[in-house]
This record gives sequence, C-alpha cells and structure tokens, in this order.
Amino acid sequence: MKLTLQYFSRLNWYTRFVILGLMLLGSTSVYAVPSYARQTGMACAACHTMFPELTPFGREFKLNGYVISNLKTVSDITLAKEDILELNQLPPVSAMFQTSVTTTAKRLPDSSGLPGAYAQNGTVQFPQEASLFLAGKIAPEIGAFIQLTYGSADGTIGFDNADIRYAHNMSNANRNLVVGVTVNNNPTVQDAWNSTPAWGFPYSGSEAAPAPAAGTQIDGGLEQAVGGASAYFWWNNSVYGEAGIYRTSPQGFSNPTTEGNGPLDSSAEAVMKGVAPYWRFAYQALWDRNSLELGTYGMYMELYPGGGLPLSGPTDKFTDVAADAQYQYIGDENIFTVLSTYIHEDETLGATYSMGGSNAKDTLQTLKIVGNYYYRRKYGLSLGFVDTWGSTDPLVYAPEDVVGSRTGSPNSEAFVAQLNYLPWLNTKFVLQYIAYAKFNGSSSNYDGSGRSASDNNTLFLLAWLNF
Amino acid sequence: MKTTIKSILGTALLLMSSVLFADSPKMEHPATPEQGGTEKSVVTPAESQQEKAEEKKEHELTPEQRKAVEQMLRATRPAKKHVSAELQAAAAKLAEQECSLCHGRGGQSVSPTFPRLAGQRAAYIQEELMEFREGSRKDPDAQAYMWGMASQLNNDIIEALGHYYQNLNPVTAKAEDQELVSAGKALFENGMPANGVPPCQACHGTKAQGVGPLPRLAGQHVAYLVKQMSSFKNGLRTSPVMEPIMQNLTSEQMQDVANYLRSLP
Repeated sequence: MKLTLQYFSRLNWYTRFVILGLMLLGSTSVYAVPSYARQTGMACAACHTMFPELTPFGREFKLNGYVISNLKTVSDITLAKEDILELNQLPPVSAMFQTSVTTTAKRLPDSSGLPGAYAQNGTVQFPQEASLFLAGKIAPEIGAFIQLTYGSADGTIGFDNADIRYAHNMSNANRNLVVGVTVNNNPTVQDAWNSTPAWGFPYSGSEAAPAPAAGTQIDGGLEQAVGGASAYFWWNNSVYGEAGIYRTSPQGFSNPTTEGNGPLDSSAEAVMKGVAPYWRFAYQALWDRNSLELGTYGMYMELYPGGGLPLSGPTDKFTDVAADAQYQYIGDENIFTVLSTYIHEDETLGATYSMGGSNAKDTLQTLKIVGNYYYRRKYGLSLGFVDTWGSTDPLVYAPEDVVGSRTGSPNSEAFVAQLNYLPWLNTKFVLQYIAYAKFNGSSSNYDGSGRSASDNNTLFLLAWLNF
Repeated sequence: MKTTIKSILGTALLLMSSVLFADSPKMEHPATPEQGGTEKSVVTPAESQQEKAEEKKEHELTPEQRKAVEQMLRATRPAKKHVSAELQAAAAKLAEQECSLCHGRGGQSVSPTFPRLAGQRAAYIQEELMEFREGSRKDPDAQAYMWGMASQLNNDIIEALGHYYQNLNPVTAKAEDQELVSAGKALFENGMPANGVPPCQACHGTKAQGVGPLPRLAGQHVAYLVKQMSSFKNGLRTSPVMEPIMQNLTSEQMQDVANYLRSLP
C-alpha cells in the first residue's frame, strides 16, 4: 500500500496513524531480485528457500554488501596501480510484476456513505504493483538494493525500499568478520533475517481489503518516510550487531517556500525531533542443515505531529523493543522454516494528548509467527498467526465504518493460510486466505456499524513475476 | 604439487599409487618439479608402504573398469607445476572471504549441501572447478551454485585454490551409526565383485584419502556422499567409472558406505 504525502496531509494525525496500521498485513514491498542471480551466476535457490526468504548464504550475500559477483567487469587503474573502476558489464536491473484478485467475505460499504450502497467485491488489480530494481554491485565493496514501484493506488511511480551499503570483508583463516555501513529508508529493510518486519511474512498481501488499524512504528510505520545510516559487524557467521540513526525524509513532500523537498516545517507530518536510534543484535547457530536465529531490535523516536503545528514543543515518544526468532531446515527436497517476532511499543503521546487526541500513554504489542513448508522449492504451504493488542484508547481508535473501532481497542487476531506454487523459481502464484477472529477490538460489530471481524476475511490470488 | 597429463597417462594402470600425484595433503608447500621429465616427489616411508598396498588393489577392477578409469584420467587436465606466493595469497583470500561462505572456515562446511574441502586433492578440486566453469558437471547444486562461482576463475587461481584446500587439515572423523559403518566398511574394502562393484578403496585409496585427481572421501558429509552417488546413478552427474558402478548400489548400501567414509579420519 502506498500513500502520497499530499494525500496524507489531508488527514489528521491519528487517521494517518490508522492508515499506517492498515499497511500491517498489506505491506508488500518485499521482493527477490533476479539481477543478483545474473550478477553471481547463481540460481535463486542459493539465496532463497522460496523468495523472498533468505537462506544462510543469502544472508551472507546481503551482509557482504551485495557485491559477490561473477561477471566480467569494465576496469580502470592508475599509474600507481590503484584500481579505480570495477563495473559489471551487465547492468544490475530487474523487474517485478504483480497482479491480483481480492475477495472479502462481505462487501465493503460504499465509501460515500450512500445507504444500501456497496463497493464491488472481487477486485482485480492489474498491476497491483510493478517495480524496477537497481540492485547489485556498484564498486568492489559497495552494493545496492534500490526499488522503484508503480502502485495502482497511487497511479504513479514512487521510490520504494532502498538499502545501499558498504561492506568490508576481514575474514582470514582464523575468523570470519564483515564490517559495514548501510544507508536505507526503512528500519529493518537492511536486516538479513525474515523474522523482522520489512521482509517478513506474509511477504505480499491484498491492497483492496481492510487490515487491522494498529501497528507499531517499526512495523512498517516508517517505511520510505525516513533516511538512516547504521554500522554493523557480522562475526563468524553467528553474531550480528548493528547500531544506527534515522531521521525523517518523506517522499512527495514539498516545502511551500523553497518548493523543494525541504526543509521540513509545520506543513509536514510526523517529523522526528533530532534522530531516532536503531539497534539490532542477533545470534545465529548453524548445524547440519539447520539454522536458528535469536535476536532483538528496536528504535526510539520522538515525533512532532506537524500537519499545521510547529515543529517545537511537546512530542509523541515511541519506544519499540522487539525480539525475534527464526528457524530453518533446508533439505534437498523438503524445507521447513518458522519465523516469529514480538514487538512491544511504549507510546508517551505528549503532543497528541495535549491536543486532546489520545491517552497520555498507550502500549501496543504485536506477535507474529508463521510456519512454512516448501517442497522442492516448487510448492509451499504457510500457516501464520498475527496478534495485535494494546491500550484501549477511544480517541486513537475511534468508531468508523470498516476501519474504526467501536470499543477503542486495537486488538486484532488474524490467521493466515497460504499456498504457493512456483512453476519456475522466479514466478510465484499465491493463494492466501486471512481469517480474523478479532478485528479492531471485537469479533462482532467491531466498527460500531455492525461489521463483524469475519466479514473482513480475505481471499487473495496473486501472480508474482520477477525477471 | 601437480603432475602432468603425460605422467598420468604413462602410468595409468598405477593410478592408485599416490606417488604419481605427490600433492600430498601433508605437504605444506607445493614443490617445483623439473621440466619435461619425471617428477620429484616427496614421499614418506609410510606413504610408500601405502602405495604398495594400493597397487595391489588394481587387480580388483575388471578390464572394463580399468579402461574406464584410464579413459577418465586421460580426460583429466594437467596441472601447472608452480603456484607463486602471489597466487597462493590470492587463493587464500578468495577461499577465506567467498568460498568459506558455503564451504566453511578452513574448508569445514556445516551444511551437507556443501562438501568439506579441507584436505581434498588439489587435482580433484582443479578438475571439478574446470568442469563447473565449462558447465560439464551438471548436478543441481553444481548448476545452482558453482557454475556462477567458477565462471570467471582462470586456470592459475583454480590451481592455487586446489593447493589451498589440499593443505588444510582434513576433517575430524565421526562414526554416527556403528552398524552402518561396519556394513559400509565391508563394501568399501571388498566391493561386490559378483555385481560388478569394485572395492571403493581400489581407486580412492585404502583410507579414502583420494589419489591424484580421484577425490578424498574420508570424513565427508554423509548426505553429500549419498547425493553424489545417487547423482551418478541417475545420470545427473556423469563419470565413465562411477555411473556404471552406482547402478548396482542400493540407497541403503550408499548410506552404509557413506557412513563408513564419514568415520574415516
């Protein structure tokens, strides 16, 4: 789901918050990139169990800066024998095309509010998204993943996920060590495990179905709206540590005075005060065909609501602390994986509370767990559970048709079942069913307009082509 | 140290003798042989004894099998004699920073998808890398991983990589299932002459240490070995020697012999 800032700016602070929450299950910017395969000469299966989930080698490729390359290069050298150019002879370009059909258990009411009027069911999106990737080695220790996406909802091409990194491999006979720096626009997009949000299950979802309102900041709330840099190390294929900072860098924002993309002022929304620190630690154990990862990640940020309010005074403070775990068994024919994360968010809503828009303090939690089975990397079955719960806050989660909450509770429970079929490793057909036991606080009449959680149960058919 | 094709062919029937391929894992530095004639080899008394023992094993091959081995060796490319210090350093860097991502630090891979390379025969590594590069080794993992990785390697670095891995200490032996190990030992040492299966040790050495371009099997992952044997059996991997032999081995027998090989130091 993509929203332009112009559209955003017409919304009040918490409606925007709710819409960001809608991205929770609908967030789809998660892809595998054939240009890496072309660069390395290695099949998708080297880096992915089933794209976009990474194998241990896929993690190595990423943490080594996307630079492992087996292509002929265009080179240059100085008289002092310094290498000054090493350009792959093949441009690092890939494309992705997604088209989908979505059906919800019950039609949505017409957005105009016309009594008895309903939206169509059986939404066809052609395309749902189409992306161009510039992904590959730039220089010997510098590589990139840059994605430009056309979204049907926007009707335009936007800047999507980006992760540009420098990695220095210091491995020798006695140790494996990589140190690096990443600059990116989505916290966790730089991560190498699929248990963290940016590359997490369900990888793709409908954009034509309602999704629960609440979501933590680190779980998609900041994607493509920030710019950050972090430094990391990766030691002996087992210990990963990363620390960095982010700062607001919205897409589509235009300062009324400069008519440029800044500086940010009261006409922007959700602007960070200073910088937001980000951290990540993970431990990975490898044995036989198994890998197990246990980790933690998190962020702290202070946000000015903006949207007509000056970028000074009280802020809303968010502290996200998360734990994650991932297990993979990668056999020649059978692959099992389990991905899980728990995110706890403390919200001290000084700015919004002072405007009468929320409780002074809220908490929000999300638990995601999914089990995947893949056979010969051709057929896949995934069963997942996403649980979100937190403080009841009727000012934040107000009653509203379909997307609101009658009770002011953010609590939602979703079960996800997914079948995958990959006739070729770079083509994927997905049949996904999401069943809601609870939606925005209740099972029945959750929005105050008589809609049940199960009315939002969604059947989603997706064709996903990478080339 | 490498040998020439000339010397291999000249002594094809003595292929089991590692004196022809003095690239012993125990050698720290590749020696430089003299040009054009017989090679200088560094052979310890223990190795010499073993060679004599292994020479006897040639009789355990049928004439057809011997011919196939000869044919295979004839197709094996000669190795260069000398690996410069610069190339050794380049190979070490490549192995430690890229190859190790799958094959493990010190050539001790964790996943059985990837073979352990520590102590592997230099000539075998060279031959396989060249086959990956030209796409003539076609089993699935070869295509998925190694066709790309080997595509830009030149002969010099391939040679140096072979020496790098050969000089690493081989893996620690592990006996996982004693029953299978015993059954495998019998197959390894005696084969099944009635079924046309020669003793594995006839070509791979009495300790499965490998001989010349014929791979070291000792200490290798069980699953990797079984997969290679199956690949020879079903034609995913080709070899004039191994393909016909593997037709006569059941999956259980492959498991047996792989477990025995894993138990060898």
